[in-house]
Amino acid sequence: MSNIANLLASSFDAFSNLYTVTILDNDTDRASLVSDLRIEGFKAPAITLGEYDLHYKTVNITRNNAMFTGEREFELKFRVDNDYVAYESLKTWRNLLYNISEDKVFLGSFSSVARLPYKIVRVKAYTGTGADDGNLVTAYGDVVKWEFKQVLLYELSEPNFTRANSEPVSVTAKFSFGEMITAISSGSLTQ
Amino acid sequence: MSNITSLLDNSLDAFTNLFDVTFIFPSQVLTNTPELKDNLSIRIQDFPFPTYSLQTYPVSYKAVTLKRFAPKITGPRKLSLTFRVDADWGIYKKFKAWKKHYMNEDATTITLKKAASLNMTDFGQIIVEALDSTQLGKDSEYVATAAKKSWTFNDVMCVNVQEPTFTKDSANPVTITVDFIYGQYTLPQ
Repeated sequence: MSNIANLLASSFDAFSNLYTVTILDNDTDRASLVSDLRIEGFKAPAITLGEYDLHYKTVNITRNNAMFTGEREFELKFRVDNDYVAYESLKTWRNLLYNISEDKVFLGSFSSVARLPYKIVRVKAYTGTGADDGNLVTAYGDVVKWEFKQVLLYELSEPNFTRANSEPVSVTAKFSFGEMITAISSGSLTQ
Repeated sequence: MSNITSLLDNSLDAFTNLFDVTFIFPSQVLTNTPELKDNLSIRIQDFPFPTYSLQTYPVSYKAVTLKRFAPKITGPRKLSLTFRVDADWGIYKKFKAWKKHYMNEDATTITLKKAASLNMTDFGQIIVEALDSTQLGKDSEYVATAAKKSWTFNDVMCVNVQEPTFTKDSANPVTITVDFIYGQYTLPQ
């Protein structure tokens, strides 16, 4: 087979724009805290095992130790609406943990994983084999999904005002999480 | 609903250039006037908000490490703002007067008791307002009177006024950076 034929016959690619991010109160919740339309980009954190070096005579190798490394946190950037609803929703969530205006910290509110400040963040990547533009539910089968549980919003930047240009306001939120589940599943993409 | 419809139906965005900043100087430094308010709001370049977070510490158990939060809000209670200076150097002089209320580098005098007092006439205030994108009139003149969101910095002291830089290489407007420290910080309610 020629190189051209090999390339043409190679499978369809995954695309970086075919994804959704939702922020949910619990597993059965369907309404995202902030509309997926306003969430810009997602980069999953890398969790791996720590390393150490082994030396013997003239050689050395790297081995893994028994401790997971990598920050259990990620960032999301949000494009803010004119009414600042997205900003207020995120600020209200952060205020469950601490309130800057009142100089208060509420550590007791997350002493249990079932308490109010925790949410679930679910990221789905579409496999892109459907004929539609990424919206038709039945056109997609397998989905790669990242699910973060016990998520806390611990830092929220304020809007970036400037006279130099006119861009949509965006804020960046930093989240910490407990469990991370990476799965490939089939079925409809209802949420 | 198609993706196009979802995007079109999505509400209007907030914009980075639709904002106003009001500086209220300590009454013992000068009298605040509407002209001063407008002049400073026009001449400020941008407004970088400070970012606050919670102090963290690691907790490990066997193979996993988690980040936990400590009861301390971290973040600088400082602002560094850049202004385009007017031809009369009025902005520069006014901020220097504010700084001189606490320290005088010419006379090498320090009046720290003003910084430690609870007398509100010794402190200023900075208010940042985000404006409504839907209320722009002719020539983008802002017609609505109510701000969408408002951030307030209280107990503000002007602690440094960066001296201007002169050069023969170009003809650019002079800009100065002014440093402030503040006490209470109120976010939009």
